[in-house]
Amino acid sequence: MEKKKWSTPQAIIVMIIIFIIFAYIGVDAFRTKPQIKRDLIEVKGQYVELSDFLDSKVPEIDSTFKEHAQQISDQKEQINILQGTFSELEKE
Amino acid sequence: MGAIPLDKFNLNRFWEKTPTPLKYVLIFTILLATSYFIISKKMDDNHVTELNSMKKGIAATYELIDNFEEFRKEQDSYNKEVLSYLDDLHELVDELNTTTNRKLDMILNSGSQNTDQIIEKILLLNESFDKLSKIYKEDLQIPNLDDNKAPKKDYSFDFYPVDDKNRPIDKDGNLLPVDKDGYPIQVKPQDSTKKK
Repeated sequence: MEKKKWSTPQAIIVMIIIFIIFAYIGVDAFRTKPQIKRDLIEVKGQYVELSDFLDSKVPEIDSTFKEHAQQISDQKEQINILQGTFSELEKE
Repeated sequence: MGAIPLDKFNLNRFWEKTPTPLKYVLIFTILLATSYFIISKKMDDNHVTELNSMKKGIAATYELIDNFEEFRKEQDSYNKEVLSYLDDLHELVDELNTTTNRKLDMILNSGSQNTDQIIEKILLLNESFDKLSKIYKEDLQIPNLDDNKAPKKDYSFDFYPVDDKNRPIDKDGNLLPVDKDGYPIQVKPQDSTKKK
C-alpha cells in the first residue's frame, strides 16, 4: 500500500513542489553568492590599492606638514628681524 | 478547455495518499526554505550594505587626499607669498633708511647750496615712501580654506557661575563635574579670565 503511494499523483505533486523549492534556493544562492564574492574581490582590490597609495602618501603628508611648519617658522623669523630693524630705526 | 474539478479536491485525502517520508521531506524543505529566506537573505543584505559602505569609505579617502593636495598647494603658495612680502618689506625699510640717511647727510653738508640735487633726493625719498605705501596697501591673497575646515563646534554658552573657591557651579549652586583642565564638562568658557 505504502509502495503504491509513491506513484500517486499526490506524491508526484509534492515531489515537484519540493524540487521547485530546492531549485529556487539553489538558483538564488548560486546567483547571489558569486555576485557578493565578485563585489568582495573588487572591494578588496580597491582596499589594497588604497593601502598602497596611503603608504606612499602618508609620508608625503607628514613632510608637507613639516614643510609648512618650517615656512611658518621662517615667517616668524622674518617678522622678528623686521621688528628688530624697526626698533633700531626708532632708536636712531 | 477542461475545467479543474476543485470541488472534488479534498486536502485530507490528498495528504492521506502522500507517502509518509515525503511528508517529512516536504516539512523539512519548507523549514529550510523559511530559514534560508530569513537568515541567509538578511546576511547577504548585510554583506552588500557593508561592501557598499566600504566602497564609499574608499572613495571618501581618495577625495580627502585630493582636498589635502589642494590645501597643500594653496597653503604653500600663501606661505611663500608671505615670505616674499616680508622680504620685500624688509628690503624697502632698509632702502628707505639708507636713502633717508644719505639725504639728511646731503642736506647737512650742502648748507644752502645744490638746491636742485636736494630736491632730486627728496623726490627719491618720496618715491621710496610710495613704494612702501603700495606694499602696505597690496592685499595678500588669503586662500579660501573654508571648504577644507572641519565644522566648528558651537561653544556659544553663557558664562558659568563659580563659587567662592572658583569652582564651576550650576544655577542651583551644585558643583559641576570638571575635566582635567578645570572646565565644566561640555561647557567651555568664552572668557579666559574665568580659567582656573
